[in-house]
Amino acid sequence: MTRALPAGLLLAAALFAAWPAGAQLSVTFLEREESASDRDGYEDGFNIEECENDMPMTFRLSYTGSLGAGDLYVYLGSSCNEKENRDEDRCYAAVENRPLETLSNFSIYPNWVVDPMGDPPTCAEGEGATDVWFLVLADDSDQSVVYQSQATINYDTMPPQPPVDIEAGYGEGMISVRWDVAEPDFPDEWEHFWVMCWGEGMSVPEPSPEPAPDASTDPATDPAADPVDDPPDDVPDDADDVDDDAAASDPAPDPASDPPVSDGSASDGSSAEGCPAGGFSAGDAFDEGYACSDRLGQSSRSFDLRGLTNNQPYMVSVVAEDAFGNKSVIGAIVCETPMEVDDFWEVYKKQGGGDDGGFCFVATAAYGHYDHPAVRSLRAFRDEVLEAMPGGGLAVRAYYRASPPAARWLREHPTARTGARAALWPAAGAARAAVEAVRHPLATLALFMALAACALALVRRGARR
Amino acid sequence: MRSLAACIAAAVLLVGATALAQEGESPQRFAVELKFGPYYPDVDTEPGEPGVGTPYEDVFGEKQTFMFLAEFDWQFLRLPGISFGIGLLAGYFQDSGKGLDPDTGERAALPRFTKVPLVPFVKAGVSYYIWWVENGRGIGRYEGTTGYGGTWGWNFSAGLMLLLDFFEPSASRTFDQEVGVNNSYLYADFFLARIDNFGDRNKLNLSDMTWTVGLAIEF
Repeated sequence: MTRALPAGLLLAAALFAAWPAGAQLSVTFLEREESASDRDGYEDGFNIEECENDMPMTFRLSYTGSLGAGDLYVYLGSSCNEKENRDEDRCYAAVENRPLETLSNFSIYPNWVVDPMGDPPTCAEGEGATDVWFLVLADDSDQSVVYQSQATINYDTMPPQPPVDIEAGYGEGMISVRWDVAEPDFPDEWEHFWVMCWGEGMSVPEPSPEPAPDASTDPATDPAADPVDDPPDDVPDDADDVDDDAAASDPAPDPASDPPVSDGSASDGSSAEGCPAGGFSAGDAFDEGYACSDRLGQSSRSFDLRGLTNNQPYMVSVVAEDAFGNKSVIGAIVCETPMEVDDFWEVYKKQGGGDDGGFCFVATAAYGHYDHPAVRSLRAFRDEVLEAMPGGGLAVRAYYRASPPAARWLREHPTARTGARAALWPAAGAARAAVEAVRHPLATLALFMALAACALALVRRGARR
Repeated sequence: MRSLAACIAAAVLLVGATALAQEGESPQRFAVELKFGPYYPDVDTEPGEPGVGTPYEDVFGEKQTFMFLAEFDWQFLRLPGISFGIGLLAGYFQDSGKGLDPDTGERAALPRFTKVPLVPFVKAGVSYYIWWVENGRGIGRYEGTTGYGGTWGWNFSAGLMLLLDFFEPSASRTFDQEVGVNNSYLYADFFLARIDNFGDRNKLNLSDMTWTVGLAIEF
């Protein structure tokens, strides 16, 4: 299993080897070209996207001390430090016979790692790890190894299978989606899931731009590029080649394995019963513009799409993602329409449930209704004024501890409830004034100043008399 | 999908047998318990006339879901063989179900969705359950009422704790010397929660009689 392979990429960042006459050569991981996938939370190594877009990892080679005689060779494959193995059938020569004086940055391209013995290397489907050997060979007929270090780079260019058994059910303003995976014996193949959805009125994502030629690896367009950084001829460096490689690595359509389309939907996205026209289709590549969830965890098998419009059909599906960030094609499409239903609270109340909800115990009991204007004023005062004051939260909590028995007593004594209502009116009015003052501070200040001016004028008039 | 969730807060009074202290053991004052058990609130015993409605079963079905609880106790009095304490219990419970068609009342078409190794104890306390009901648009509402609130009640539990120190005494001593944990237990209890605002029929009844199992440490 790929995840269990050694994370050689990080090992390469700390490689040091003693070298003749006290000299040292170090190979440090410098950077990787930015991937469209956020690399946080994924395995280190090359994935499909990086391979198809020819996005290398760059290493820095540096040395200290005086160099001895020898030339740099970089091989990819097993046991390339042994001379008899260093032929084209067992080791891919990425760099040969480079003078040590030219040492600088060095890029490892994904197809070297994925298919080192290919002619040329490709992005063929597969997963595993490839050894990278940095050798300094003596400049003699024996080409003896005077320095060596080795790193291992993982790769996974095999997309996961899309989720299966995708089901959806409607609710009020929501659709609940469930799914399963095809081979639960290998759960590591599914590290994340994305729920896709689309309905009329939702934005349609822009089509992905064609991959641009990778100018950074072309010395002709990058005068700063190091000679060692020049990819060999068999590395595709224009868009057409990239597309050809991508096409070559894509599996041929297999009707038996293509995701099925559920009843009531259409694989080409055209309108079918219960499905909106447009959107995406089963078997399409992942498009983040249609993603209606964040990246969901490995154990996720359901997701609720919320905030949808009632009586409007939506298409939904699920995409799987492996530990390297490879995404499956879009799974089977199911269509569902959110519509009005009675939730538990409505069922409870319709069947005679007595609880009116809320926490405003005394006022609710006194006015008999949680949404009474006076109760709303007191509630707003609690949330917007009292809670914002130092110690206000403590007062609120103390009230909640003490008030339920009083509220219960009020409910059982109608006369007392009338008295409480009368007593609470001034409090509710003051609460409303305080809330409005907090909501409109400038208007309150102006009003206060106007009242103060009137008061001052009245006082002066009284003094003159 | 519709859901009901509840946060549980309770103060408990603990009376329990205690493991005998060993010589050289560090002082013991507190206990922490993490536990879980099935839960099915007695909402359907509360609305209207008894037997008229079963809103909880209608929406959430008959399945029990698990309630997770954490408890912190202060053992203020420890006598040979028995201890007394007070504590705080907090928990969380959530259930999901299917909404009903407002016209037909049918469910929406959602998918299928030798020391003493055994230590007895009893606890009793006051509880306050904060609950809320959600639908696809947020908190449920109906004719001016809002689907959240709180219900007071009381709880009682009794059970047995299996003293794990019994199986690895040396490891237990090391744990005590290095971390200060005196005893650790696996335990199970009978848990009775009467959460109906002390008999108020106009409050959501979240009562249940169930069991919990969990892990407890004393320190």
